[in-house]
Amino acid sequence: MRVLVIEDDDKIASFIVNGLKQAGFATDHSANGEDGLHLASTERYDAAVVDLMLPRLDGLSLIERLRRDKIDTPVLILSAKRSVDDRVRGLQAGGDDYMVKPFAFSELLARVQSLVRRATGGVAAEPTRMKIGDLSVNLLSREVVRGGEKLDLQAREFALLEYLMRNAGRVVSKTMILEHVWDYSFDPQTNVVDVLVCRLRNKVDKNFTEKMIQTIRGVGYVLKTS
Amino acid sequence: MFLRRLSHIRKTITFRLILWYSAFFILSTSFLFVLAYFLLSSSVRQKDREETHQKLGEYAAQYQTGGIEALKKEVSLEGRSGKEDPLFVRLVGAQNTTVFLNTPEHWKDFDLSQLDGNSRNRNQQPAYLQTRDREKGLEIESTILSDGSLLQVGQSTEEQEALLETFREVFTGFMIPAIILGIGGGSFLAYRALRPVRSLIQTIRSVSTGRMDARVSASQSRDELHELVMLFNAMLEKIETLIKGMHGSLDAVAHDLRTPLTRLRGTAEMALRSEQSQDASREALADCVEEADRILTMLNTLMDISEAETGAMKLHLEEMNISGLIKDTVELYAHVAEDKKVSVHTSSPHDLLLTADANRMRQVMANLMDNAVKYTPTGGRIDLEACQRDHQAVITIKDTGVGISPEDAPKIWNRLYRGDQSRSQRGLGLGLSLVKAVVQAHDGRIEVSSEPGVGSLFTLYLPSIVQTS
Repeated sequence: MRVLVIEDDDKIASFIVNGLKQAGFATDHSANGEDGLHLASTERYDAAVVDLMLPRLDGLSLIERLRRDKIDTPVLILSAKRSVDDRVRGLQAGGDDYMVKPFAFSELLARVQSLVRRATGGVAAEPTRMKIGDLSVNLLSREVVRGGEKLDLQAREFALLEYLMRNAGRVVSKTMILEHVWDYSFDPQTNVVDVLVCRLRNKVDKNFTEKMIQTIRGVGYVLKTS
Repeated sequence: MFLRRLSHIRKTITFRLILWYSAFFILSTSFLFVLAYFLLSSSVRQKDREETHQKLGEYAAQYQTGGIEALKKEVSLEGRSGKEDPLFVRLVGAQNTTVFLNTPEHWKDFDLSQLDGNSRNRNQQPAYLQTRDREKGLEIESTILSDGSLLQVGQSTEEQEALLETFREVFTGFMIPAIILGIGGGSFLAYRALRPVRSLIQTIRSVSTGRMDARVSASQSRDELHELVMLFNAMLEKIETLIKGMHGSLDAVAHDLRTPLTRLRGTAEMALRSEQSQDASREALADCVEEADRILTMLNTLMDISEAETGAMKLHLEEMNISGLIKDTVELYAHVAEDKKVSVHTSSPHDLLLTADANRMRQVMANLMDNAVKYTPTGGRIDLEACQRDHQAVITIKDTGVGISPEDAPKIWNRLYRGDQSRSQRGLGLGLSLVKAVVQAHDGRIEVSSEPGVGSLFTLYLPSIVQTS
């Protein structure tokens, strides 16, 4: 999996590149729009992360040029502008996803992974069962079993567990949970996520020695087995 | 220098208005006078002609009945009576010899020979004679009598001329003040009409030098220029609000970000200075991330508030159902309320629609609900209700919480104000400011009534769509 990062700020670029490398991506970086366009046109990438404010050639024009040349590498736009109009403009230019700076790296990673999955036709037949460690979930019957013991979850708790399991091993942020579980595209500045996670923990982890749902302070939550 | 000033004045609207006004005034006055002059002169001439014609008839009748003697008698009789100016009477025989001639004394100047030449051909037409110095005129009518002789009667135009002369003098005497009046009136009107424009120019000058509070003084009239002045003032008002809002929010942001930034820096610095274990360093780093997130949230919220307050917030208005909005809000907080053992009740008609920015309204409701849940103790109750009242959607959120003290009540909308009850709770102190700003950006309003220890009631009034079924 190769990802191209076009970002002119050294620090931001280096933490994106390092983070993606740690997550197993081969990563190229260019610090201006022209070089970025050249790389994107000549090499084959599975996804590109493009900043909008770039020297020499701005991000929107870069994406438009790529699409005009029939290069359909999925593009995640990074921008400091957070208005809905800017978002729409970015997506209309040919971007596939839009993220506002500052962002949590875990979220960027999740979005890049989902772009790559979509592009590689990777929406494999929706699994009806997921199993991590001794925790298994049946998406059809909505049955949750851990260590042979059936767990009784409410709708939102189930939605959260399903989301965590789909992203097992990856950190998901509060914002991502709000978006997926409640369909709130903004952070209402509440503790509702903490409360829901706490309830889920009470049911999934309380009676077991291994705690699968972990809090990564300042970042989010992750579901994993040791 | 003077010439340049003059050419500048010539280019001004005031000058041109004065010029046009005076020219129009003078021309129309002159036109009226000329018209009156012609009407007067032609009617006077007409009257004299009729008189001459009548006399001609009379004399002809005398001559026909009594012959030349009767005519002479009649003429001398009239001449003596002195009632009217004496007339010129001449009888020309068939052989073109003057049989009888009565000429007033002062008419000797006329060259009567002019009449002789072709008088018979033009006998029915009035002839016009002038003295040699052209000062007096004589108008003569003639008729051919049954015996073939020609009778001519004439009258001096002296009287007409005198009358018209007086008229001309009056005209000249009148025109001088009329011109003065024209220019004066023109100047006055131009000056008056352009007064709003002058004060507009003056105001724009002072605004561009930085005096944002300058306004154009409004006139009493209700004309187009007044409307322009009013619109201009309204525009200035709007600009001033925007600029003040931007200054204010910039100050507020700068001030409010200093505290969390100091905390962030302090945490990082402490971690760097001490020889801590890796775990402690990780804790410090997590603190830094959390603090950075808080700064970001604060920045975004402050930007939202000032955008909403200054009217710069872009609202993506759409039709939305209020009961759906309430349902979303309740679902978002279902677990939080359940954990706290606070019961939530809703009541809302299904068809109550609202034109609003859906995300912003969800944000408003989430903020109000968050407060309600936060300040309602275990076992309490929250009621969310909606109804329609006179084209307004009314949404109420009632809790049985700690309430707001009367001295706090007016301040809860202020940015970063946190009441005593609120200090112990998480939050930025921006929620209610944002709620109010967003509601006002939707042309709505929000009210609160509260009793400490009993509960609070927040009421939202929003313009709604009247449902036509």
